[in-house]
Amino acid sequence: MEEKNKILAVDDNLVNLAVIEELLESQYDLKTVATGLDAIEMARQFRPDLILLDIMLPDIDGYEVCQKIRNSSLLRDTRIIMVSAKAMISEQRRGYQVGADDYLTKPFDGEELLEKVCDHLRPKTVKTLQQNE
Amino acid sequence: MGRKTVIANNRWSWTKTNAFRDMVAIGVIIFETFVLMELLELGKSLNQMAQRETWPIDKFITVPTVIALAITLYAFSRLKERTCELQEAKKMAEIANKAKTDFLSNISHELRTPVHGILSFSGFGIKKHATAQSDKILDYFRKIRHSGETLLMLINDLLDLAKLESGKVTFEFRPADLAVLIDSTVDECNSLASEKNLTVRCKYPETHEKIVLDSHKIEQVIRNLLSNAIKFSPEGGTIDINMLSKADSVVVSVRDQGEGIPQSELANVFGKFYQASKTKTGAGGTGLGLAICQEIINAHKGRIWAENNPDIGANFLFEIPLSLEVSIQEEVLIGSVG
Repeated sequence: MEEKNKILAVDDNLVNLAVIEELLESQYDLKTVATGLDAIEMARQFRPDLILLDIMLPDIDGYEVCQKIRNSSLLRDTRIIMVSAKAMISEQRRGYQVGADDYLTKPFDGEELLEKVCDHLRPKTVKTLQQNE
Repeated sequence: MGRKTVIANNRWSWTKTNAFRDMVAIGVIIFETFVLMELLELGKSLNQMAQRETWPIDKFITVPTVIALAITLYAFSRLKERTCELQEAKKMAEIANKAKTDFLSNISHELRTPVHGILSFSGFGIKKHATAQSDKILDYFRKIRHSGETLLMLINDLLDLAKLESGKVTFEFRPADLAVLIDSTVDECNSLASEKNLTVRCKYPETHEKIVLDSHKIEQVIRNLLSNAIKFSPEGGTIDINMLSKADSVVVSVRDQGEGIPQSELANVFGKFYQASKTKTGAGGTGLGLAICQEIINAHKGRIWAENNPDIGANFLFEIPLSLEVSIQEEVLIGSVG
């Protein structure tokens, strides 16, 4: 049986998390958390392939979570897509500066999220296939 | 006599305007140019005298040079003053501009969040209406409604705040019994409090007189502080509302048993879109409630602040002076409909 890719979604807004669940739950192994510190803890345990990371979080913000993940030897290669309602260019630039692989602005189209997730998970799939060969 | 003084003051008040002072400064600079030419002439004759090795001191201290020096000093001090004023004004404009940009960025973020919920779940409904079960579709509708309510709350709070900040709200200052206002607000919030098994205790001074305030607006403040206290209280906790009469003011405090506010964030909680980090998750609200409270209390010439209790929880207090006079401050609501 094919193993599902693991995705961790981080958002303090429950409706936003529900949107992501609706879109991804059936195809991926999905976990959700609502705070920055929980995100880091869960990432260590769950070892996701991809993290969907909101910026405005109640304890530490998404930028800091991203930096901590990039500084962790265990998690540094995890793909990170920032998903935020912060839409200004400067905010997006900061996301890339702290190590995000991609940036998606809310409100987003469901198809757009699915495409991005698929794009970012593909390299891993290819890598795994090569290793298996 | 008094009237004459006023007229005299008015007559000369134009000399105190910046425009007049600037005109004087420009005049001085023109005059200075002439004086400088004079000084060059003087320099030439000094040179000639130096060659002749005679140094008559009276050639230096002449009426034009003394006047020129005095005027130069005045012009320089005035120039320095104006530069400082302009630098200060520039700094203030930059701060205001930064605040505006931050506000727009925040507001865009806050509006996008519920809109995202509405668009996403309505999209799911459109896509899956033929195949999804009815309880799934019902769940989508509930989420759309919840996001819509959040959006409406945000828009209402924003309009309230904008009106208060621009002074376009009518305040009706009339004598009222603050204890009665507190009691009725507590009654109103009773069902919310009982959902979490909370006890709300009110304590008033044994004798208290009516004080001049705007009842509806002060009720709004108490309702806001109480609903925050309910939101952040643990299940089964107690909320204490105390009213304290002072010589020239009255203080109301709303104390909860929640997690309290981090010390570094106490001063910021009245800012727009601010929600204390410890309590933000799942607490809902627009982050504008306390900013609205502050505007209302400011209009009462009072103050509002937050403290942490020594043991547990936060304490929100406001103070209203007893010196307010009965009045209706009517303002025309520009753009208001119905």
